[in-house]
Amino acid sequence: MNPQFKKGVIEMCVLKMISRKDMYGFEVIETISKEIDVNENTIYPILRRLTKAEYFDTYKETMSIGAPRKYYKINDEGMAQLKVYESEFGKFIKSVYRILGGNEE
Amino acid sequence: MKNEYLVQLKDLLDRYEMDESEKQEIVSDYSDMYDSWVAKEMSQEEIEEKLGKPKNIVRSLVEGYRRIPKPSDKRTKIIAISPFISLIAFFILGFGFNEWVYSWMVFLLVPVIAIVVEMSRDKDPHITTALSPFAATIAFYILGMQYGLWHPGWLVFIIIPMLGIFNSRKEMNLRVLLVSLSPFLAGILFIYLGEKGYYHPAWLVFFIIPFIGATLEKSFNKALIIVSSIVFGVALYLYIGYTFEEWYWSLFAFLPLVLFWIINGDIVITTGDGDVPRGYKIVSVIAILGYLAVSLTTQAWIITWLIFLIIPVYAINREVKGNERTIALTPFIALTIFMVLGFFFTLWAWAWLVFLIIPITAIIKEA
Repeated sequence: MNPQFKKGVIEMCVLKMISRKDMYGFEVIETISKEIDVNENTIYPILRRLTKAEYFDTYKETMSIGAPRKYYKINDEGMAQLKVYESEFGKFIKSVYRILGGNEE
Repeated sequence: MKNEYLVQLKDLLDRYEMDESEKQEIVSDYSDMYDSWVAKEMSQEEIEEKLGKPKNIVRSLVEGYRRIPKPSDKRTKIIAISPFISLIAFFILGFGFNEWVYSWMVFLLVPVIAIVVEMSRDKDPHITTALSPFAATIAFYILGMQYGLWHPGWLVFIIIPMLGIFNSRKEMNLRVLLVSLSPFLAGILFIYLGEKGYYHPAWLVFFIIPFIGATLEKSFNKALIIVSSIVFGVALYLYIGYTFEEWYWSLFAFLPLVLFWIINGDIVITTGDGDVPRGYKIVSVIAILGYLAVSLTTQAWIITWLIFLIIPVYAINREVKGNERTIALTPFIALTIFMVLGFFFTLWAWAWLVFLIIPITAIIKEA
């Protein structure tokens, strides 16, 4: 798969995952790499980019063992961006299915 | 390893005009992720593969950031141009004057220029110490090639520690200075007496070093024990040796001195602290046993010390990854080839060329 395309899809997945529940960095990496064949080391830069784009807020949560964890929480801007991505991706998928002769309209 | 990884990451981030807080945040995030993988019981190699090489991480994080330009003042330019000057001089001396045997020395200009340029800027008093290995190498080579004085021409290398001590004289008191100079005094005496035909028992003059060194002992009693043990040992050694012709047994005369040094903590026998992995210890033992076995069998002591290179080679192989590993190994490969060509084929005059594989490999790999 084209790496740029894949990166875009992963970006959307990261936004979606964190929209469901607040997650810490390692959790995001572990969860996504279980589902998609992706290098773990490509995910943190995406997470960071999305944070810099102000789609996430971050906060620290103390743990019973070890250092406090940094959690990512999606904000309104992030939700709006996710909707844009989902809509664009949905249209794109439909178009691909049409070309491939699938059942999607 | 984690620290090294994070330090490397921070160093690379420091090359960009990024807020310090942002850099710290990235390093902290990677520290957390590193710990999370550690908790999953992954090896350091696996963790660093999962996190990615610091170089690649930084590349993916610094989009939109300006790289801090490297200082490119006149001094840097002079250093940068020196290899080319050396190369041109090398060919002129070689093709123009047929001085191939000596022309390689112009390459010493590269580190010499760098040392002069960098150290003269800070008026570093150790500049002559830093330059002395090159001066000594040139003098040694000329003495050897021109006059066949390889021995005692090697003595010129004494200039290196002597200059080191001389340049540090202001930081030393008189007693420390005397102790520092004692090895040279002993060495000169040893060579002088040796050349008169008394290498044995002239080696005893090296006891001058601990003898003078005893003056640094804070306790008078300890100093007295050391001095008297040396006097007693030397006297008994000579007595047993000359009376009974039993020189090996007479070495036991120094047993009290050695025992005192061990008790006093001057001689410490150690196999490394708990952090030294077992592999290092095994390789070290193999190297020592291999060295002794091969040397005693072949009597080729001049070249068998190469066996000890397996220790740093093992360490590099274990600790260094990727391109850096190949680059780090080239000096050892070059040294081995150099010694083999010189020792077995007497190609010393040409064998040095093999050292060129070090910069060549580095340039190719980095490119």
